[in-house]
Amino acid sequence: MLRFTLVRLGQAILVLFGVATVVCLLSRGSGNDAELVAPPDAPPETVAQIEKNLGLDKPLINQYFDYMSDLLHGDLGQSFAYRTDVRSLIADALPNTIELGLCAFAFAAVFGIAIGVRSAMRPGGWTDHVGKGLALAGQSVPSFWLAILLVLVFSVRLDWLPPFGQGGWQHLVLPAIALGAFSLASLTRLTRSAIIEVLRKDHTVFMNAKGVSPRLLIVHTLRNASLPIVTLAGILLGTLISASVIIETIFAWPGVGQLAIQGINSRDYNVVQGVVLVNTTIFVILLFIVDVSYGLLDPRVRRASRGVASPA
Amino acid sequence: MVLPVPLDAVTEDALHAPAEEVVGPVSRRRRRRWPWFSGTILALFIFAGLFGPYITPYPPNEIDLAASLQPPVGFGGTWSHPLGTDDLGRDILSRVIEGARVALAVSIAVVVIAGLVGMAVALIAGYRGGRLDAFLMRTTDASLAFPVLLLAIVVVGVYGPSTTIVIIILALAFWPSYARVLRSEVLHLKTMDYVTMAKTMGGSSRWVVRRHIVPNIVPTLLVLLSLQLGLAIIAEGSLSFLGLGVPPPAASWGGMLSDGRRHLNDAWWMPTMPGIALSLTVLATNLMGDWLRVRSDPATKR
Repeated sequence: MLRFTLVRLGQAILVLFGVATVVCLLSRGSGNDAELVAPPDAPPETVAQIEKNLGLDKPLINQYFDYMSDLLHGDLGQSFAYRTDVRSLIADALPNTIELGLCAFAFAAVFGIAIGVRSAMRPGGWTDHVGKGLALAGQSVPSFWLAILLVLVFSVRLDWLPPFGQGGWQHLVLPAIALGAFSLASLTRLTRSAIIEVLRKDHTVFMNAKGVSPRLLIVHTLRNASLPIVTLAGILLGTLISASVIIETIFAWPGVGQLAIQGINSRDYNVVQGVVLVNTTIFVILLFIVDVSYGLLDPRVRRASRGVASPA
Repeated sequence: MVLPVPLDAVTEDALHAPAEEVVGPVSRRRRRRWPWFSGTILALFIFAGLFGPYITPYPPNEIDLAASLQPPVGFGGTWSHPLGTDDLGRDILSRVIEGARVALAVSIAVVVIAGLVGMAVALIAGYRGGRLDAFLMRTTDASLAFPVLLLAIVVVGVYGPSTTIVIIILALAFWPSYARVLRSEVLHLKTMDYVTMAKTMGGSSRWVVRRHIVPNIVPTLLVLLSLQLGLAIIAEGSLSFLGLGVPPPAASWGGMLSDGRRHLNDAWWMPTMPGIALSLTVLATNLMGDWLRVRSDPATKR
């Protein structure tokens, strides 16, 4: 188990390191930051001075080490557009992103698992058909189109919910649904197939034959089927928090995704880099937790990581 | 990887889901029938993609401010612009057709490049085994955790949007799924008697792989390609929607949806038409992928 955890930890750190390196090299290749900071009509001496202040006159390798050491100290640099610390900008926006991500996740998890369980209990029943339709639609309708559709129907036509911005719970409904729909579809499908697989196992058939009540049967089945569901749910949570860029842009939700897009539009690369790094970190940490908990729950996973290639 | 969709989870779930629970003669026959709905839509999509420039009623980027924001037929519009016009008076039908060309080109390029890379990795890792296998699979796992959408933001922020960048970024996001699924297939095939025999008879690795392994993973590859085509179309749409994808004035569906956002109150058809085209196409590729999967699964074939 320790070995398994260490391997995964090493991988997670490697990914973070790789992302930081790529981000650093890309942004250094992007042209002169000093010209962005300086006023448009600044004389070349001023630009050179700014360049020196920012450390841009050093060789690339030194810049890279400076950047990495700043990162390790938690310093994400300055925002050119806001003239403040990138770290504080992200600290302000991140709670909003997490709030939206958690709401979308709750929506997807509750409905996805409920529909999945019911579909699996009665394959071919009406819940199953509705579930199948929902799953298919959820995987075919991209989130940005669903978001626009929801706004068109519920805000523009019916005027029930606000089309954008932040405020009461009403502001969360549409973005959470748009963001969570795809996850809902995946969870429904996976829950259904995981439970059907357990229902086919001998021990479940035996319990059923013995006359165990359906209620108890569901409890037992769900526990046995929970592994893949928990894994997918963890991955989805990571995805929801780190990839809500599109939904945040559509609903003008003041999260980190919107910060990143604004950063691109104003060529404020430090902000973009900061958001990318923070989001990657969150995603990698969540993935790590999922992996390790999966190893804790299922001994077979641990064994497979011992260098012996598993057959499937 | 961080796309708006967790690719790997989706693909693997789709590949391993129980094919058909209610196995009876009726359902089996129904499953094997040619999928008319998705087949027709896909045929239309490919036709529009290939012959778009010859069938669009107007040039897709022709601006006609006198005819701006005309509603579609049935909602007060005329047949001169069946799906209406956008805020610059461009014909939406022509732009939807042109969008099909963009979506088709990008998604095919992405799945083919990703499929070839993934297959190469799977063959080397699966057939060689040992340390090389361990190394390649660790790399694959790590790539899956790479935040591709976020990377796209940085790359495009730096170099500006371009179709080539979209294809490269998406191919980077897509290849690990192929590598993982196909590798397990290769591992399974390697234990087959005919492969052992081919090796015993002195066949070189290269020959065995080409003659006995590759032809047998092609069906799985095709299923994966079709399942990922839909995801690639969605991903391209997402990037274009954010302004990180195919640069304007090219008519990509994602970009059109983004333009339409400004006119939710006065021109609902502007985002709706490309949205419908996008969802129908993705729906059709998903249905086709499911159909192929069931068909290529020996357990349900008989």
